[in-house]
Amino acid sequence: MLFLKEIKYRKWNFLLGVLGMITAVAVVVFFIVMTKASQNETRLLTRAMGFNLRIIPDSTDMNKFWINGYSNLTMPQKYVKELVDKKAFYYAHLTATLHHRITWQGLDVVLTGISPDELNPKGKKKTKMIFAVPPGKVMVGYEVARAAEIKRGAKINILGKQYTVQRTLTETGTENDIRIYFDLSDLQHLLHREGTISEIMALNCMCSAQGDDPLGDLRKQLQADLPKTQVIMNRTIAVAREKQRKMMDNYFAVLLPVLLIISAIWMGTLAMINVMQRKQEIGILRALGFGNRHIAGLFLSRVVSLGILGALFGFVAGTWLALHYGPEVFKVSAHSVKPLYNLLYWSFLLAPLFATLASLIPIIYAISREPADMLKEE
Amino acid sequence: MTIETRKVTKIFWQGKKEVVALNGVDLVVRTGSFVLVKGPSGCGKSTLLFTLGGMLVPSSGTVTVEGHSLYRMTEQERNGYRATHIGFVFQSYHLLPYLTVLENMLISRQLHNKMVTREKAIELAASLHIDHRLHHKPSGLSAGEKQRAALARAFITQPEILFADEPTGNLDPVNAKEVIDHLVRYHKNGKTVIMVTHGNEADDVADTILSMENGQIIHTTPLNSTS
Repeated sequence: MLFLKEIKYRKWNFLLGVLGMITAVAVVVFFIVMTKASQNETRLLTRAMGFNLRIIPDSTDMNKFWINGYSNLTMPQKYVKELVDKKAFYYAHLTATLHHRITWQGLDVVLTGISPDELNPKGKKKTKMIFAVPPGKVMVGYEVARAAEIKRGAKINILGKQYTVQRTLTETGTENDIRIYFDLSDLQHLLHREGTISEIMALNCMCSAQGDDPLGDLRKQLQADLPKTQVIMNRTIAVAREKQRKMMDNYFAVLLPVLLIISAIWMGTLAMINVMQRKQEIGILRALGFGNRHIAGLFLSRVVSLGILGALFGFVAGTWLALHYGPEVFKVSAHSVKPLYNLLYWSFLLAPLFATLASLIPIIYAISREPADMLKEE
Repeated sequence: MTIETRKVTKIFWQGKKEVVALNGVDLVVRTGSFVLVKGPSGCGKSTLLFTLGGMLVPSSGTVTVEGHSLYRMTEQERNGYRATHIGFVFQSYHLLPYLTVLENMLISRQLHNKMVTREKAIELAASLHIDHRLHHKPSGLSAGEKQRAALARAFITQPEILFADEPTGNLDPVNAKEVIDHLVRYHKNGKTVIMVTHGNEADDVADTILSMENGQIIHTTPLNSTS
């Protein structure tokens, strides 16, 4: 194999080319793995901030809604299924809830029924954002438990029915501290509101938002699919989530072209140096009757080899860097920084192609000159 | 193979300056000739050699080989012509530095040339006294050995026409004489040799001397006619 002998002879030029390719592939792999990890981190952090969408009956008095913290009106529970079936918007989690305020043991408490079925897009398994309460049991918010001195396992009577306290919850510093959580069916039965809910809570990533007014777009979509509802978005959570997601995308969008241009110049220069070093060799090969295809083949074999080696070692280096530094950066989702093996496939496909494109001008130069020109002494 | 040129001109451009390397050259080289091309540096000797060898497209005029116009051939045909009918030897040897002498000799095997065999290469190397260097790379050879290796690479396909561009230019008199002897032996097998030279070491064996100046053949001197 002629090109292998040449590579061995001019090993430093080749190794510098491989190094350039390794750097390019490693940085791309590193960034993709880190971006993925960043998205996981963002997802987990913003998920901890709670649901960002609330879908409630459209005739809700919003003044009362904000004072009470929930809608006094109810809507059919089947809306949840309709929402899922119509794929009205992109969501990650969808939970039906029912709320009702009462005075219990001298305390203002909000009874909250939670559907045990938290719905996710089809084919996607996701960790539950909210707990499920077993039928016949309740979970008591921190402030209620403290004021009424309720312990885990206690039997409590609410509106004439007895429930076992499954858990008392830790302090959240929100209105959740004055809630008593039920299984949705239990609360519907207790309040004689079978088949109805107060709201649907959802986590929406705004991934599909194209314009400047994602909430407006969302409302239009819901208006068409569930006309008797309205949607409220917690903008702080939604925007934080979206900004975090876009931040890494933007980094990548800026860095990737810069990196690829630098790598292309690096490899193109090395290829040109290689061609200039081999001018007379090309000339003599032409004198011996070798055609353009043969000559181009020699150079292409070289750059493709360079691309393959760069892809392999670049993938290993980029993955190692991400696995080494990723957990330091992403504390919450450290365990989710994992090698993305499909990138190896893409590296093997794209790195040789990239190396070929970067070396195209020198190769064209090598085959387009007259043989005698190449043999001229400098 | 008879080579004939008619009003061959080659113009190079150095920036905006026109350099006429060949100026209306008319020439006939008959089969089995040993032709020396002489003249001062820059007179167009090497340009003529490359043009005759199908390596440099003339600006105007025609070059024919056995009546076929060399530069009307397709690139592929011209490559085939060079591979099978033409051999080149250069002052700077132009051996591929990463191949051994044997591998340099066998390089034409990559063009599926069935004439080129390992046995033939070894035999040829012995006749050129470089068989002890077959597995050495050019960097380990003396100047004489390099030129003999280059001759071996040229001879192995038994080309009808051998072009030698100052093949003794870098050699001491002893090695120069040896190279000339090998060229003469090759020529005696009925092959055509066209050699560019500054010296007189081949005057005794050539049958024609072409004297060039300013891109023109100003004088043709017939010596010992062999055909």
